[in-house]
Amino acid sequence: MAKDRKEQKKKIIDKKVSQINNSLNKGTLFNNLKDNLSYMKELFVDDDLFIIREIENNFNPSFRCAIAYCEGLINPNIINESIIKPLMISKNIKKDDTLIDHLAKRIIQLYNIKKTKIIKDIVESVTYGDVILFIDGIAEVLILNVKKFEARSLTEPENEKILIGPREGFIEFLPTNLSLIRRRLRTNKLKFKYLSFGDKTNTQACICYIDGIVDNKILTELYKRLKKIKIDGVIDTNYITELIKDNRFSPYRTTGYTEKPDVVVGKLLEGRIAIVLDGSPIVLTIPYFFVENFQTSEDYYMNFYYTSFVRILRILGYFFSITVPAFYLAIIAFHQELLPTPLFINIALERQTVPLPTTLEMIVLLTVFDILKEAGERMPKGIGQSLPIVGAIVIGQAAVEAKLVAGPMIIIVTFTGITSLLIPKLNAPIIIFQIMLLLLSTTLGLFGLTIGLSYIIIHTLNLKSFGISQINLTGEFKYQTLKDTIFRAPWWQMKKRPKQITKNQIRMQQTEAKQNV
Amino acid sequence: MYNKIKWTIMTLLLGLSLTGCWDYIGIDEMTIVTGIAIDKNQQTQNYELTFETISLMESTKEEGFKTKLIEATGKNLLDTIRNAKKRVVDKLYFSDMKTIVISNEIAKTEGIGAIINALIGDAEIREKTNIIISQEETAKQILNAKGIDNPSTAYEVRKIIDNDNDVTSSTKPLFLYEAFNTLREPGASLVAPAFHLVKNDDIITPELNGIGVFKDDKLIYYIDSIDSKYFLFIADKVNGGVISLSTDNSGKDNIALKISENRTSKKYSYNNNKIKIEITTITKVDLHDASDRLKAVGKKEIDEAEKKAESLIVKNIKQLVAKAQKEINTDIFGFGNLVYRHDPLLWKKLKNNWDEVFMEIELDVTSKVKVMNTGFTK
Repeated sequence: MAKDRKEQKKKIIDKKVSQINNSLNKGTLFNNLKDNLSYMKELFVDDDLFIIREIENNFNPSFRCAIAYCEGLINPNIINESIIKPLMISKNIKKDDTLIDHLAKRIIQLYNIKKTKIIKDIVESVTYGDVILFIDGIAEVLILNVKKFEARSLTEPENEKILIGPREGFIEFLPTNLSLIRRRLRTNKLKFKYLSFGDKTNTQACICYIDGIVDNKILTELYKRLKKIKIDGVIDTNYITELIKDNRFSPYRTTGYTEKPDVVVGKLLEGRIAIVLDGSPIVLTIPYFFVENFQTSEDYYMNFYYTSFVRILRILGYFFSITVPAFYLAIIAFHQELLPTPLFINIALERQTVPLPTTLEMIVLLTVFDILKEAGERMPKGIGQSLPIVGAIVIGQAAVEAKLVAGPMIIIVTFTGITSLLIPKLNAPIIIFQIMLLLLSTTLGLFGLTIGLSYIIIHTLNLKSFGISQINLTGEFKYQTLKDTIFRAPWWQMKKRPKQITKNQIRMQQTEAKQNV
Repeated sequence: MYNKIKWTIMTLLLGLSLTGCWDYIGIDEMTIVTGIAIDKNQQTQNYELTFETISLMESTKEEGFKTKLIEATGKNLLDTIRNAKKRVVDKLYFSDMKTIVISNEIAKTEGIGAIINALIGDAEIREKTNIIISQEETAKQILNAKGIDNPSTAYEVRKIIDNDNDVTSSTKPLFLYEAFNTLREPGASLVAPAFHLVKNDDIITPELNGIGVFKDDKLIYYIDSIDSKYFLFIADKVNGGVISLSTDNSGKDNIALKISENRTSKKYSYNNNKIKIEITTITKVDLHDASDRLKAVGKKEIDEAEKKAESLIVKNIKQLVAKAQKEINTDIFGFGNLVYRHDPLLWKKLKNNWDEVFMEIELDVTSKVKVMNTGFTK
């Protein structure tokens, strides 16, 4: 018996799968309510969340209909008041050809109603919190929007904390995210285009851009790449990032990401395109320039002298964090004559009793630092107190005192670790290039370091984002092209948008003469 | 992609064959040499080298480093250096060596040319290593003595020479590359700092004691540290130091002038087979010390001091040149090089009997001293 039931069940599931995979797109509805309902039940077999409720009109018993919805995604009050109640007690429901329009226009008191005949649409809507109204005798249904989701409240994103400026962050709910963007850009030129990704997840995404500023070439290139995505599910924007990347093996990003609506609006105004994905608070912006790795939203909200200085620090931080360990190693192991004598003697003294060779010592310590960093990120907050103690005392002080590692090495590793925290957007290149340069300089000294750096420079200069060079290679050093790169020019000088990504360059009408009055 | 990988590997392999003789050396696996003293055993004619090295085993972080001496003998320099390795565990490392002490005897009898030639060819020894002459019996004694500040005598000596020029102007440093270049330069003269040992607080310690002057590569004369200042005036190497003089007739030096800047220009003229050298010094000084403090220093006193200082400089320079002409019989000032640089053809004519020409040189010294500041409050 049990075996039979199992087989039966399996058959049903197989049937369902094949239906969803093959005939869902072509499947249509029946005229008969009963057939429709049993068809739906078959589609959602073994799904207890899926609920069908049949309704009849008190004054016209021949009118029969049914609503189907998924529990937990809908607002029950609205269903009771605006759907079930009018359908039951309305006096002027007549069965004729215009019945479905009549219901939509006069009976059901909802702001968002759509008509459809396609099974695929029905399945997608009902799983996203819509109510489906089936009517007896009509091979068409109404999709009634009564969504009600639980979502996180708008908080400041943990990863992009700032001192000054807007603190709102995106959440995991697409309509809220879009509203946050729309609210800041009150123009009809702002366009939203819905798309969906994933055969199974059917995740909704929205492409935003400002018409007239955006370069259509980039827009079509983006659509072309997005169309190629064939994947069962898209859970976070990083899926899309990696699937539409220009140079797939490069550790550098070719799309920007942010959790802050003000950042997205700033990028849209420069002619970029944003991709907002349902279920993810991370919004992508394309195309992406190399300098964007070093930019933060605060750069534009604080004094330009200060932010220019900080931006230079970030660029130096990136350079230091990939080269300092390799440089130290090359000097200590190959080119001791480059060290000033007092430093040389000190390091030699420190290294006297260290058991490991310098290279191994450095690799071990860098790994330990990364372990501590990772543990600090993943650790439950309750035991957070113990990590700094372990890190600082056990590994730092005790290891030096026990002469397991040399003091200068701790300084180098800590310095590298801290500088790499300056630029979280470049964490992948930092880890890859750091190790690459380290290995090259242990084998070839400064010569190896030079080879590695040349490779990195060539690779960085070759970076492309949607066909646009991430670094300006034209050799054109005009002030307007440099104004927002290694320093941040004051706002009254940022008259033009980036030339590479938009043809409509003029951002500011104001002339300098007027400025001075 | 495959091509890219192929080229990357080939570039890396090239790196192995093109990068000379570097290799991975642990920084703690070498014996750091801070200075060498070069002596020669007169009986066996063998070199006797003393290396001052940093003893990493005895050194601690708190007390700083300690040094020890390693001795070696051998037929020639390279042989001797290699022989030293027989006594120590780790390879000798010369890039941080600061001082080469050459014994009085080697410098006088056989010259320093061979030593400099051998040392400058070494990859590790720096061109800016100081060369000094030991006025003691052996060069080893200098390294064996203890410096007052620095645990390494070689470093102490180096620092004494480095700072001398700004404070006392009594010596002219000689670097390895300078020695090499000067020996090849026509008419130039080689000068090296000389050190002797003195007793200071019951410890024997090296002291700078003027300069040793060379004819070709052989030491011929020592100029003491008082006369050496005027040697530096002629050589245009004065950057500091003190001129003391007396303005009253008591015979006591009651005024000290601190030299803050000096420029010397030399010119020569050739007439009737005779060279005439004109030396002009322009010196800026601060008036620093006067015995009668309560008396205000006025323009009169300053003018007087300037005049006296000028005549003192002229007198001393003339004396020193006369000494070179009569006692030393050598052009220690490099006047020959001055002629060579301006008129190589004339030098060609004169160089064979330059010593005789030098004896006959006429000297014309003019000096200008300007007091810029009086160093006390009125």
